[in-house]
Amino acid sequence: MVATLLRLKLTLLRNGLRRSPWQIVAFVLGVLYALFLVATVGAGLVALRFAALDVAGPVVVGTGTLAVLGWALIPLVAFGVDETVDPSRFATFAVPRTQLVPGLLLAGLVGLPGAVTLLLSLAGAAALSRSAAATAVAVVAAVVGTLTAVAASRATTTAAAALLRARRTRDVAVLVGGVLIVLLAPGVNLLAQRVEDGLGDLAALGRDAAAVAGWTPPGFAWAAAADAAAGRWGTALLRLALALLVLAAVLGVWALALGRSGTGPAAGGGSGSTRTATRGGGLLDRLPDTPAGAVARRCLLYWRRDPRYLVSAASVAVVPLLLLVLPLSAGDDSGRWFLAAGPLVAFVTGWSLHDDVAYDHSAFTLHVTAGVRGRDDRAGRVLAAALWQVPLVLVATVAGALVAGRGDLLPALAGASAALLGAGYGVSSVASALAPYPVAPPGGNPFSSPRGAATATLLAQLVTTLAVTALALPALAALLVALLWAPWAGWIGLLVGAGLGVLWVWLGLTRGGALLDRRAPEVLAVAARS
Amino acid sequence: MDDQGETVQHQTQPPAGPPAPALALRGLTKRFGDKLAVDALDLDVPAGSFFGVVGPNGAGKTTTLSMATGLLRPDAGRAFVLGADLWADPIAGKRRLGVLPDGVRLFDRLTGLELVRYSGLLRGVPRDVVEQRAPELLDALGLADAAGTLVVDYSAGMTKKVALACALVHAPRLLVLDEPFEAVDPVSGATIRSLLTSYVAGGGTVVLSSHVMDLVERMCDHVAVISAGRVLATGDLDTVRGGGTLEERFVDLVGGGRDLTGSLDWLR
Repeated sequence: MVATLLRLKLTLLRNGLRRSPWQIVAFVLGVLYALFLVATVGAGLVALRFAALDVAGPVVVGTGTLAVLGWALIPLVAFGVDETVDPSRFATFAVPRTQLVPGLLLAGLVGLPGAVTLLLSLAGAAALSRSAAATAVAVVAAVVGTLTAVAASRATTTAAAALLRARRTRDVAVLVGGVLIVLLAPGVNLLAQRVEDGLGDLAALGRDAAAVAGWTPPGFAWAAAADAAAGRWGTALLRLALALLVLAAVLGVWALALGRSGTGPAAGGGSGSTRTATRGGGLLDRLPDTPAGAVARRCLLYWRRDPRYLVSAASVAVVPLLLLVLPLSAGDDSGRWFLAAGPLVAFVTGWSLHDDVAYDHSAFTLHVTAGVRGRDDRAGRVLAAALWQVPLVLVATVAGALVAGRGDLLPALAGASAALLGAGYGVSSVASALAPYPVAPPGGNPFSSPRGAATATLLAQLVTTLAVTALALPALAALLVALLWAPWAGWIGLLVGAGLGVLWVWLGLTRGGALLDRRAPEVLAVAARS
Repeated sequence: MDDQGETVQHQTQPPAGPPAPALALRGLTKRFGDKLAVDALDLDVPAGSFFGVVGPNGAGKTTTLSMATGLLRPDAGRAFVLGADLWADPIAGKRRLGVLPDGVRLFDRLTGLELVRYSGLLRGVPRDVVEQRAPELLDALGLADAAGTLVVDYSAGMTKKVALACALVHAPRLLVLDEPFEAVDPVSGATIRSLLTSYVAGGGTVVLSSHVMDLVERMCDHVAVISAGRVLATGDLDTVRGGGTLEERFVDLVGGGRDLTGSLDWLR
């Protein structure tokens, strides 16, 4: 079974490369980057072999712990987990989970991130190879640590998806995730602050931190290797045993989560109360009965009912929290950071629509067969988003200016927000018709990205981000002038920003609409892929 | 839009009009990489006919119907829907066309009623007309009890039926159905069949694809046999099957019927 899954993964990787030359380009770039990482970081770790043990030990324990945490947490926020070998495809094959999980684990190791982690872990083991026995322990610990990292990434994303799929717990899970992300930031900041306190302190702090990390689940394996190198065999074996227990526990959580979500058919939604009021309340009924109005009504319902939209909306709510927590944890006067709240929320919300058609997946077929005009499609999506985002941006802008005690900057800030939001809607309306990229299908894991889409995703996100910023530049410049020299320039900024916002939306609807009219079948083909 | 006008026009139309094709395909071609999926395909579907498209798996049925309904851009060729060139003027062509695609998702975070209503409004049908038709359609298809349930929680058969309701809510004059009976239980199948039969009796045209010969033979009055992206035979049912059953004629045309005596002994 394990061998079969490994072969499947390799075959899928090879076939993925065969699909287009760009896949090969992306792969080669990835390999070069991986080689660079292994060469620099790996060389550094191996060089530690000749450093004192009280330097090498904490460094290996620290980086190892961070690596495991990174595997476990980063896919929840960015990139998603590589679902080349998707567990839900095995639902019909009656593979016992005891065989499926080890197979999927090793398959997850195959690929660039897994290879880099394994190589760096072994480099860390080399740093601690102070005796033959210690080397043996270090190598075992490196393998256990790497496997724990890979398993943790699968366990957290599968568990999060399972939680999200059960409709009742979904909102809570999103909220908890958001809070966790916010709490991560001050931790990093506290560390950064200590760095400024002096290098001597830093070494001591690093040693303390490593000592603590060595007694946490992601750190056991690496600390065991350090213990062995120092000749503390009792602690070494104890921690190695604990590390194995952690690996088993992580695998157990993963298997459990797979049972709840992964091995079920992907399209099946959670059970529970699904009867829904067919009328969505006052706002929904007041939308016009035109095609554009119908699209807006449908999108509004989706903002409420589709976990993928909820995750996207929750990320907006995190922005003001970040602005509150980040400066506070840095011991900084947080006041002036709040000025950025409005423009930041405007940027994130407007830009978040840039791949909206792909979120429809093949359901977009209905828009194509119904012959919905591109302009109506664009307008409906923007209208639905604007109905809740414009008030949000307004509140964030006003509140930000008042909390920061700079009411005089309100016109400039409002101008910047309007320009950013309008540019976001405009760019999104064009981009989702011009360069859609595949995303997780409805009911799928919102933390995964379809295979082979990474390059297109990165490129589209980069270009749209730059475009939104560039289009809002005049209003941003006015904001800068008002902030640094002359507050009255804000009034010009307000006029320019509002004008630009309206102009970009209008251009986006007409240009994007015309593009969609021309390219609807091609857009559908991308949206339906996953 | 002018949906109402068309309904009226249809009712005054004589049942046996001149044979202007409801759907005409001319030289449709589609290539996927090295594989020629549809090869300069010509097909005429007479107005008012119940037309079955049959063919083995991978024959190009879905590809052909996708190109005929505006979902997939052909490499070459044209598709005329009720006289309108679909790829030259997609919006005019699609207005009188109802499509049930196979294997695509629906907006399944909507309830059944919301989805049918959405489908109507997207096509510019006035709100009051949609409000009247949507519950009526769901009722006729046996989905009245599930009208307030999210489509994501529907069974495969219910999903097929609600998709059919979406294809009908704007009262199209041509209905193109890709595998409408796949994953549908016999009771739902009978419901769909009687609905389609009465639709054709009212002057509408149905094109459906299937690989269940028996079903096509019972329902359709015209058939086309497609294999390897080409039409092997087309015409009214009796002409195509020429005395035998449709299945015999089909295996005859497509070939590949294999005599299995002597092989696969280990299966017995």
